[in-house]
Amino acid sequence: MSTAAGGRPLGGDAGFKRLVRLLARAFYAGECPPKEAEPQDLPAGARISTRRDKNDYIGLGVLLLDLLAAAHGYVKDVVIMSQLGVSGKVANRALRHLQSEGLLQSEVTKTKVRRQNVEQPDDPELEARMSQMTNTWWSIAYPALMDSLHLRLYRIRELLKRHMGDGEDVAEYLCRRCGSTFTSLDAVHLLDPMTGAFRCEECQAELEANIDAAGLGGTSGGAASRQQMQQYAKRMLEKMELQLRPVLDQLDKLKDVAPPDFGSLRDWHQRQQDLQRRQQEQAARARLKMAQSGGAHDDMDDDQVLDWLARADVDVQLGEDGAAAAAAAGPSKELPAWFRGAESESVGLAASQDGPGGEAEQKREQQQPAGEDAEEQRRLQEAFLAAYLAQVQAAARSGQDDGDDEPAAKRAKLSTGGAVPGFKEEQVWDDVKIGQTKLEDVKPEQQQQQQQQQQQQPAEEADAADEDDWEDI
Amino acid sequence: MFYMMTLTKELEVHPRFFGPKLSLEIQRRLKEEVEGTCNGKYGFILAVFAVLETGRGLIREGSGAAVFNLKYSCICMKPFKGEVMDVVVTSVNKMGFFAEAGPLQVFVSNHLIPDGFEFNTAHEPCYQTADGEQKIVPASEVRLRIVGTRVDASDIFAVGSIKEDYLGCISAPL
Repeated sequence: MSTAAGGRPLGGDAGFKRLVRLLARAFYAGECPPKEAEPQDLPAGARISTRRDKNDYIGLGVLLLDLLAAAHGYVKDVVIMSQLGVSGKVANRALRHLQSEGLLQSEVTKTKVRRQNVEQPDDPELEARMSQMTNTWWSIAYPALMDSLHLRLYRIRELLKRHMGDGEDVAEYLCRRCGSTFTSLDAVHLLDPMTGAFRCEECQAELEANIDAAGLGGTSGGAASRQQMQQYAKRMLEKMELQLRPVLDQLDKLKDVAPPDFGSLRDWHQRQQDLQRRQQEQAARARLKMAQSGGAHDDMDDDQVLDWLARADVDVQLGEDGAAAAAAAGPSKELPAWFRGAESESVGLAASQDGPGGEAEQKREQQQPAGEDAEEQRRLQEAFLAAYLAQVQAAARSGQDDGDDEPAAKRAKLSTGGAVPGFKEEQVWDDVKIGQTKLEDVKPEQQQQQQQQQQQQPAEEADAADEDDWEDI
Repeated sequence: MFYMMTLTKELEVHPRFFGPKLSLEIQRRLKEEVEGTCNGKYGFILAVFAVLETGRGLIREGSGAAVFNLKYSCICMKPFKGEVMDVVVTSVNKMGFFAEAGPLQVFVSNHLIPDGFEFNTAHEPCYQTADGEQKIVPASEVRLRIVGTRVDASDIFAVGSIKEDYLGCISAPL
């Protein structure tokens, strides 16, 4: 799995984690929750009583999101508080704010505890409350987070574009007194010919351009302020694109990737348990393997055992010589059959050209056919030889049928180089030998096989001698 | 845009016109009743071109008037969104300016006037550029593009824009 490095956009889970980190820094670097986000509908007295303490909690949102992103799952509120060292009230307020922004999800669990050395109250209701422990579990809700981020970006762009004057062609006018709205298509009815102003059809109050609906195009301040606002909006949009570039890049990278979904707490917990069980089973298997290979250590934990297993696997694949170098390069991908063939050929050629320098390599190449490939090749070659011999013998037999009648005529034909069965098989034998010499040049790793062939050859030559004998007869 | 259309009209003629000049009277009455009206479907009927068919009039019992089912060809004008047309400015205010193209009234709101123009009330309300070279005052001719129309049963109103290349003031008033 790749790691976050040098601002490079990442895919997969690591990509989503990075997105959360970028998002936190882009939008929640200040107070969390922001001061102006306090509820406005409270009466004045209540607001004073709910004022927060004098401490600043700048960057709390970043810390919370980083922590939850790193955990990649549900985290208990107690853990969050202990790790960040903030009071439960402050952490809760920040978490609730982030939840209302659509970034987090939470679930509450209630567990019954039996406290020792506590006076048991008489009231059963109070007793029930005292014996319950409530925990809130928090996690990042990635699907909702993606939606809210897309919506946020869309709304920023939309607002700024409207303010840039690319809004509706038809301007909207608003009556401040009665709240009715009109469009510029009603202009001819709204115009007061005496003053040149637009008047409300209902209450005759002067109309103003509706800024929210039609951008900043029609402010009563005139063209100058309109231009200023448009330029400001344009600057803001450019700034936004520049500052949010990392977030946008990351978002683009994750365009087609489904966000990780933890589901409900129960599902997540179940999955975690399954995963743990699977790991334990794997570790147990690894231990068994370890014990068989004689490297058992009881003091190793499961992770170490699995690491050992992974390392051991690499060793087995690469052999003893190049193990260190290859382990540094990591486990190589298995190559397709056609590529393996081509590679061994090219390696063979290179080795044959190397001369004395390539001896070690040749040796290694010779050792390697101890594997399955060499065996299979040998088997194939033997099968080929057997089939070939059978064919040769069949041809010889047919030649015998022809040649029994007129040996003299056959000899005459031989001297003229005609196609005589007995002669043909000798020629074919030459071809085989030529082929073998060619093979010798091309594939040093097959030297072993050739040696075997040579070992077989005396027997074959004996066969050929038999045939010669037959020819003489 | 202008169209040559063939339309029909039911026309009632008083018996005192029954005579050798009946056809002339029918033509006159038709022009009087139809020209300059607005129809939601065909737009403004600008001019009657020819009366194609008068048919045989039907005498009304009691009044003695004759009713003719006329078929006539006429020139219609109907504005469409996206159309470019030349208009004459009629009034200017801080919300924009009104202009007309024949029977059609067009309003150009100030956010569809290029940024270079500023509303000025020094002498008379006008939109003018900073260098004073271009000025939109009543009676100026302006080329605009229609960005929206409102079609009522008996009226058409359009909203225009001059915030585009090749649009804007084409001549100052004489």
